[in-house]
Amino acid sequence: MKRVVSSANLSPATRINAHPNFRMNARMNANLNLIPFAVAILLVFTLLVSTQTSRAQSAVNGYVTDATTGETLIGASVGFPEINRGASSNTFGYYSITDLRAGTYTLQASFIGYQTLRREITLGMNETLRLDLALTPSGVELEEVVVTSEEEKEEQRDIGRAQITTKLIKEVPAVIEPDLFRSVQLLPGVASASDFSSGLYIRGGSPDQTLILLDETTVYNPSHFFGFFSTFNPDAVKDVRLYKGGYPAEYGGRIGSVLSVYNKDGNRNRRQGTVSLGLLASRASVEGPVGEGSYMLAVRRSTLEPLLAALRQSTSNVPDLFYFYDINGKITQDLSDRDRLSVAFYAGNDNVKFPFLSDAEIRLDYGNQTVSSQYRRIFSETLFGFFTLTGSRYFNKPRFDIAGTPFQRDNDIFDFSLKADFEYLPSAKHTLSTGLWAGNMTLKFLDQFDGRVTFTDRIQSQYLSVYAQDRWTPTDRWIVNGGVRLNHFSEGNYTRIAPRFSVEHRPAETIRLQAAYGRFHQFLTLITNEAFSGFDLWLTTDEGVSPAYGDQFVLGTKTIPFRGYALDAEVYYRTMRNLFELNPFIVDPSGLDYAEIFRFGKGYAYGFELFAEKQSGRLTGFVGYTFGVTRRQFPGFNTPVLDRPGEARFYPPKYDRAHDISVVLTYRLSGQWSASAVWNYNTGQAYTQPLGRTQFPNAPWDPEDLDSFTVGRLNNSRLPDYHRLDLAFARRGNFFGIGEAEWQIQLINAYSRRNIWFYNYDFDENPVERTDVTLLPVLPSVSYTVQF
Amino acid sequence: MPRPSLQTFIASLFLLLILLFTAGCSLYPQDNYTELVVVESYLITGEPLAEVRISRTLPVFEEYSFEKAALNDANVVITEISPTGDLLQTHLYEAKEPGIYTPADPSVRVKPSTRYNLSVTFDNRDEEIRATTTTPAQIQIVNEIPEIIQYQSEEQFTLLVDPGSYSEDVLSGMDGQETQHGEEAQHGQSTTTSTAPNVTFIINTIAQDTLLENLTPFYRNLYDEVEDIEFSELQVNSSGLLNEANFGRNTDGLIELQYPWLAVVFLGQNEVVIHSVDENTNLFLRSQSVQLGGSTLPPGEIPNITYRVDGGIGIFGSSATDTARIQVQFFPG
Repeated sequence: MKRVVSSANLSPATRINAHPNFRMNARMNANLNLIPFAVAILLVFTLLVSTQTSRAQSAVNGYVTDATTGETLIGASVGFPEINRGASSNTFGYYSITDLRAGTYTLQASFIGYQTLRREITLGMNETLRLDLALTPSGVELEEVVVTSEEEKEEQRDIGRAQITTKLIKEVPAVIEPDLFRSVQLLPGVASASDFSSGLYIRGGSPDQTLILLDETTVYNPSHFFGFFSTFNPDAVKDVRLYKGGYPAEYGGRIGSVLSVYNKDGNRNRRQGTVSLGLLASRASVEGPVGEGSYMLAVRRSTLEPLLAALRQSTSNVPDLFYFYDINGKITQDLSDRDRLSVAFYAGNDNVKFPFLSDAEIRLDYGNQTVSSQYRRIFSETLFGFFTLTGSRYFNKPRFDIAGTPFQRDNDIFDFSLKADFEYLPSAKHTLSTGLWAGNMTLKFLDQFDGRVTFTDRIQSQYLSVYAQDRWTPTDRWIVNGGVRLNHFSEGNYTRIAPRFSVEHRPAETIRLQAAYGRFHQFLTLITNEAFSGFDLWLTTDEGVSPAYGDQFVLGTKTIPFRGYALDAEVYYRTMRNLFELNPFIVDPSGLDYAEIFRFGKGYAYGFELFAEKQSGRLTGFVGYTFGVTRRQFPGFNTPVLDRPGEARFYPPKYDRAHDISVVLTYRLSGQWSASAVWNYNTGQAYTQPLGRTQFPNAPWDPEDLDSFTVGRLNNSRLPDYHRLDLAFARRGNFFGIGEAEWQIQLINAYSRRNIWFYNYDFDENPVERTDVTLLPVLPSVSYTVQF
Repeated sequence: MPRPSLQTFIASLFLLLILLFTAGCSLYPQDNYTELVVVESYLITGEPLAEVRISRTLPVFEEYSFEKAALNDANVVITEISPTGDLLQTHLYEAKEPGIYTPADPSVRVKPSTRYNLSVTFDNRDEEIRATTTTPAQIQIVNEIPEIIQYQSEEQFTLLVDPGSYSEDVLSGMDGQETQHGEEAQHGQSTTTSTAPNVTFIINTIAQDTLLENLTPFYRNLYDEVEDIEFSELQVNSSGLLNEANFGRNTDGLIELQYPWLAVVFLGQNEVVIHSVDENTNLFLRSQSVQLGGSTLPPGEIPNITYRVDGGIGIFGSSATDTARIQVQFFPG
């Protein structure tokens, strides 16, 4: 079962494909076998719809929007306090409250940062009232206390959930550009690998265990500058929802967490825009009404060229070319008051051309492109549906030409899918959801060395998942959410069922007790490097490479100790089984079976998270604390130095840390000035302390001595604790009467803490010399933003 | 429903926090340094039995020299084992210099496709070291080598390598290797029953005219720009481990190896030495490169090397080699 592949190939293409027709038929059969299951779920759902829609009750529904921009608001709270009934707007800003008796009520709608809207309405017998609600943003007066109710963050405080606002992303200090991932890393339970990596390590999971969605479309490499920061432009982002764990059945495909980003629809009332100039990157956006809807376009580009030109005056090793850009766009149209269509796209690219020495050049070119088209329809006051076509492309194309020897790789992922989701409210106590996600993923590889194609292949894999879930509210003190997700992946012909369950009890108005359990599966694995994500490669399951899976158990409580404050805590435990990842000891995988390039292991993680937030007043912000433990075990790895492969021990990965504290504060000094501070502390990262050394001076193929360490347990020591303070000052003003303007001055690592990334050991020195490789020094920056 | 005390609730949360905080201490204790016996020996087919170096590890931040680490008073024996496990020959070793042991009979040559056992015991230590290698089949460069090779010309220099062959008995005793199916050896040894399994190569280019002006432009610039590079280091350019599958076999069973221009450091006379290495060497070198940072592991995550030595650490490896001599010069004009 051998197949020849190139040394650079790490692809699933090594799989045996002696009978391609048979394999294709097997895959198609497997997919066809799932179709009855999917149809059955949808039929049951339709049946429920048909039996329930004739129910004679009054209802109210509609969109919740921002009054100034017309932008839909996700997670806004709408309800009737006098009868203790309410709902939250869904991801399309739509709400629906059913099973209401005829009468006159006071409808109340609220959302963080907006004035609470109250309106008296009268419902007739069997009347369904379409009522779109426009909320007015709160002003910025001093001492302002934004009116909040405990319902306001209702959905946002579901178990395992966390929310990041675009306001926070833009306010907190950030290197080069305001960054979504860097802001998410401040939340409890989310860790970063280093100052140089925006990768999300959530509750002990590696970055590939988090599903990243942009407008429902999978993004495979959400990074710029080879991982330094993320691709999401804060000018384009409307809403970010992070499911750290125990996520519901509507999501799947990753054993860890989900980060779902929604871009803005655009201002429906007037044209507006922003221009922001920074030292290293700048951005611009425009949005406005068009037809029966809106549009939004946001572009961003690095502006390193002046810096590179200055560096060229003093040193020769400066890239000829080094830039990134990204473009986000969206257009939304109302086809009727029940139908809305939107088309969104994203394109991002990083490009480096770096000639070095004589006769050598490196070119790196990588990026993502996504496109999605969403159609939303209100079938009735109790049935809401949305359908999404998605396309996602990831590519990286490194090229090297050294001393007349060229080598290059072309790696592409094309992922096209169809999603259909339905939300149905058969009664006031139930919210049923169901949907499917079917797609075709193509992975293409082409490796060339010295002018010869050493490997080329094209892998196609189909996937299908269906889910059904019910959010049941038996009383106003209990919420039960149960669901099941069925996943099928054609590479290896794997079908997996994943149950999900959560329950919430409210013993008092200010306390919510929560618990969740779920099983999760993953059919992909990512080959990446913490220090550099420009060559990321995704691999899939196949025969002999089973999907990873894990169970998650979460207990949580959400409290409101005082008005305007929140105190949340969660405890989690999760398992990770059948983790498949590239075996790091395979330096040349050519000629190996596909399954032979992997190692298969397991792991677990547990921890405790505390989140205290002050939501109103001059001083706002939060303190997050995480206690976490994560461990991995792979056969033959981390064994005692005298070869005993059967004694593989669990070890902490580098990003494991016991304690992690983030303090994020914003203080409004005056109507014009505000200051923000972020302080982060965490236990030093794990590293392996070498214990002994030796030399092998006699290798017949190498005139140099081969040095080696002996080590004990892997990652058995800790780097010095990490801590860093970042400051930002903002001054609002006016730009020649054209629009509002803001200067932002930042100081990253304000007290110049020389945090250590890792230790380097220099064998050229005798005895061996250890040097510190440090993270970011003090970095000042300034930016100017005009909003017109 | 009675309202629980929020203060009590929050106090409980903090109590839980403190418990977890305490529980988090010393979850993964550090090991202490342990001194280990180190062996190093590489058998090369057709060559006399190789010397065996025996030493001990030293604490990592202690000054290292082989003389300081060398272990004397060792009893070193290499035995030749038949494919069925029978002892064929015993080769005794004697101390030559501190830590260096050589065969008592220097005329004994290493055979290809043969299993050898290494045994080391000490008069003054408890360790007993055991290791085994199966020498690779004898490889051979079979094509005509052009007299002069034009550097970076369009027509690249190619080597045709006969990977040799093993008897089925030897193959059955080898770990982790498979034969090429459906192919018969055309150029192997007379006892052939199967072509050699997938071969792992190391290709060295050893310059014979190591003059500064002979450096190719890339390496000349590298030498000028990079402070750490010693001129003597440039004489031997090693490819690292390369699986045969990078090149593929022709229908006649020969491996067609296209020689990259990157391998040429000096113009003039060069020796191209092809090593076919055994599984011990393969594992050792792969894991050594990972230990020094050449993998997907994050920086600072340092695993031990895979040694395949019982009772100690080190390498008891073997290889088969063949050499081509080439003359490289700039393309005229």
